[in-house]
Amino acid sequence: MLNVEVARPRVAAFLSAKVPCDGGVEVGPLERITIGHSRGMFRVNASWRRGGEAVARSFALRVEQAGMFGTNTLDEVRTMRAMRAAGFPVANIRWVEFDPAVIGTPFFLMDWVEGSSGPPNEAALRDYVAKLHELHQLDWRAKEIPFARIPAIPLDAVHQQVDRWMAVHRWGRVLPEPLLEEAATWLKRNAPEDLRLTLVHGDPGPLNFIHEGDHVQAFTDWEFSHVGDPNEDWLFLGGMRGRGVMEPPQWREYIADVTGHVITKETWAYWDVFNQFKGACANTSALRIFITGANPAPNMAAIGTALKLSMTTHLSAIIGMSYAREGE
Amino acid sequence: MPEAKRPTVDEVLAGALHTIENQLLPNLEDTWARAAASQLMGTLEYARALIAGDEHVDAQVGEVEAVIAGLLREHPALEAVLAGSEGGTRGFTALERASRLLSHAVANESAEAEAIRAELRPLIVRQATDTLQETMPMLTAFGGRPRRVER
Repeated sequence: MLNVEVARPRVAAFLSAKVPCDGGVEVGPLERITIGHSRGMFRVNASWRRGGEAVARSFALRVEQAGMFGTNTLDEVRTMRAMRAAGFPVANIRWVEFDPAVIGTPFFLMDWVEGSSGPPNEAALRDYVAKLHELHQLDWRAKEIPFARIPAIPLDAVHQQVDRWMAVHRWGRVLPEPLLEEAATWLKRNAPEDLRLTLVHGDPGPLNFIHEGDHVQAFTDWEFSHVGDPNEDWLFLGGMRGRGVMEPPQWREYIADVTGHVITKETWAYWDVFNQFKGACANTSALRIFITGANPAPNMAAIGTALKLSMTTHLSAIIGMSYAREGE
Repeated sequence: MPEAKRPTVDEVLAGALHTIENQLLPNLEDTWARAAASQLMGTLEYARALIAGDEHVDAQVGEVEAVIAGLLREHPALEAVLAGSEGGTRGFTALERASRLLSHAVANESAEAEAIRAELRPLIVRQATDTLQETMPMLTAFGGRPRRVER
């Protein structure tokens, strides 16, 4: 876990070696950005002199947390740079450092994007949903985004993602979790027939985009992105992350209204199970990170146990109902 | 009955909870620090409940073993599903076997699969629900709004 007082002079030394300046870079106290648990996020206010002129810049520092959610800096940086090159609103990454000797963990520094990640107004929310739909329309084959796995057919994408998340779960668990093992099989056996292959952000919704006024400034948190079915994103937004904005039935109507993309109730239920499974598996990683002491903060304990279990019981109820319908 | 050393673990935890809520939180302004303090209270409440009850998984494991043994008596063919399911601990083995059986039931329509869904699955769901309830103090505190400490 990053100690901000220890990291501060190290970040200053790192920037002094990267930024053309007269006599080194000064860094103010690191400000923890209070969103997200997959990475530590800090605002870095830096200042230096160049040619006698004072320069001040802010950056966003994003640091790895010991394998949280089974993701890594390299994949995230590659995706973000590719998406920015594709013209999508993504923060500009200035520097990446993989050597843990620098501040104790891999990290990258982005240009600070002005705006808010808090509740958006109606126009900004509509802009966000429209842009997420645009993401799903991008020709991902032409963009050459360096994903570790490229599915051959749409069903392959489902299997890849189920296996991906089960591997994260198995890395983090202490004991097998029968309901998640059951869900993995259920998801493979019950995949919808109308699957598509598009870019998938993987973690869309409030808190994971920056907006100012009526417009989206940047999509953030790209570490779950991959090629798969776009309904994974819509359910993550409407069934999980966006529930503080409106309830799932309203989201289903809103998505159709803004994008024209209609999701049937059956498809909605399937991707609800998928995302609860994904969330539960990802959250299991926090248990290992907590009990090994890699990050002994209490949010890790809560994510790796209670939050994971709330998702597990949610998805097992839906699977149980599917059994009940089959038995009728 | 053995006599406890004083202060007890529970008394220390209760004191820590009270101190965080009444002495630390009122003086914390940073949002992340306030959330962490609240989450810490949640983990301490969980710890209090844990030491007051059962810290071990053995009882749950015993229930799973008993149901699986019954399924195998009724449906000996299920042994094939469990081949190679031994783990490093008794708990790991039992839950690995339960995992295999639940997954088998998803992919099959048979009397065996129906028995797994009727006998094993409800137990696993109930145990998950019980454990969720046990860890609920951490979830309640996760958003950064601590509850009053009950002494």
